[in-house]
Amino acid sequence: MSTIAPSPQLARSTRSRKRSVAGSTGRRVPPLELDFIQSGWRPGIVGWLTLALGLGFSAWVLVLYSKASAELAGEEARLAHLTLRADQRRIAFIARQRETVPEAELRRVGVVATSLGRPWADLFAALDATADAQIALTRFEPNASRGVVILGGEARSLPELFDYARALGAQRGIQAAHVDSYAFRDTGNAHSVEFSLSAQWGATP
Amino acid sequence: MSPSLAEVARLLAAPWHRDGYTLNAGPGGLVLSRKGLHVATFEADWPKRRPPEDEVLAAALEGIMARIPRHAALTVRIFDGWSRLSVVQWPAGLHGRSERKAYLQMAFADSFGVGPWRIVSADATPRMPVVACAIAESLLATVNDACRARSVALRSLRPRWFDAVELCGHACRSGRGGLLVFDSGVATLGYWDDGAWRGIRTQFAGMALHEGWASLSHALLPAREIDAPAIVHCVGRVPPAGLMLPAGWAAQVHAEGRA
Repeated sequence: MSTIAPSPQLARSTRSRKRSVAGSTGRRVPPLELDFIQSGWRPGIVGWLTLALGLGFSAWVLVLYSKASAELAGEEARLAHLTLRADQRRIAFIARQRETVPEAELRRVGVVATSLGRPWADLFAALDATADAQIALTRFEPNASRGVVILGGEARSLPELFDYARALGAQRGIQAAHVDSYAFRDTGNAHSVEFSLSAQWGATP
Repeated sequence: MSPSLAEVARLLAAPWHRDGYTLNAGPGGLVLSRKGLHVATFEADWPKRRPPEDEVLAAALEGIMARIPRHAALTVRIFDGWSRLSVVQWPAGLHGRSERKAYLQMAFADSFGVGPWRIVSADATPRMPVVACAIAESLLATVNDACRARSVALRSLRPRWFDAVELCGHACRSGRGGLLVFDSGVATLGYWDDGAWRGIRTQFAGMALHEGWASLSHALLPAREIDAPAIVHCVGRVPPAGLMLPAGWAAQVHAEGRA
């Protein structure tokens, strides 16, 4: 009995088939794989166990995936709801912010607005118009929020001081001018009157 | 009874020693090997035209398969003389596997006698001849029973001629050529041309093989008149008298094939 085994010569002839097979017509013979055992390779118990484990793992992953998908969908819906609510709150907050300005800020804004709204030009025009050589102004304190201006200075005589106060009170934009205090000063040959005068200026806020 | 730990371990390890054992069966007896290394031999003097009686073969198989561990895989190669090979041209009008199977049974019964035969054939190709091979149903059943009794996985069973076809590889598939296998004094010659196997014949010639071979080759191989001869690949023990081939054919004897 002999057993067929591959020989180097046969292997060489296989590699150089074009040289060894003369008269080739080009069409190839399909592989001849006949066997009386048709079942072929059958997996062992390890194969079946691996398959079962693989299927079980796949099912487990599928369940996890479906659960995660459901959770994700729920969380996405919740996120969308919260985002909507947050948007609504933000919009409402902005609307409220626009509607209600804080009291203190409003007061500050009012002061600034009032200050800016005072007729400064009238005040300076009145002071310019009533300028007198007999009156020397040394103090000028305007209070725009209260609409009061305090003037201090020296006058040659008391009648001239009152004339000045009267003339200032008659100017446009000045409601009233009052001499608040006065004092005589005597410095050798010269006599003068120190005074303090306040005037209502512009509209009262 | 539940299986022992060793039994379970062998079952688990079964897939890794599937390709270990090969059993060659022929007129000289049985030879068991594993990965090319000899394991056991059962010497016998069995006939060349047919396998031995079922009881004889079963007893021999039982003895030699005791050397194979349970759940191992086994490849069986049988002597070419115990099989019947033929190239079949499907007649027009055959449809389906059952009709082709019935036709093969009838054709083999006509050519080789009433079986029962177990026949396998290549896939049906329209208008192309295909190779068909038959062995006695009882031979297959005996081998199957022996494997089942030993819990051995029978992975493959076929005549050795197909191993030679496999070894030829591309050389057996291109253009035109022949494959001649001498196995235990029996010659099996197949030849292919134009994309299909055209003929296969087995010669039981005994000591006068070269005479039978000459008639076989002249009967099977068509004479050709071209410059370059087609090659007949020869595997196995070539008769000392040499090979006589028709015109247009040349032999390529491989190293294993020299007497």
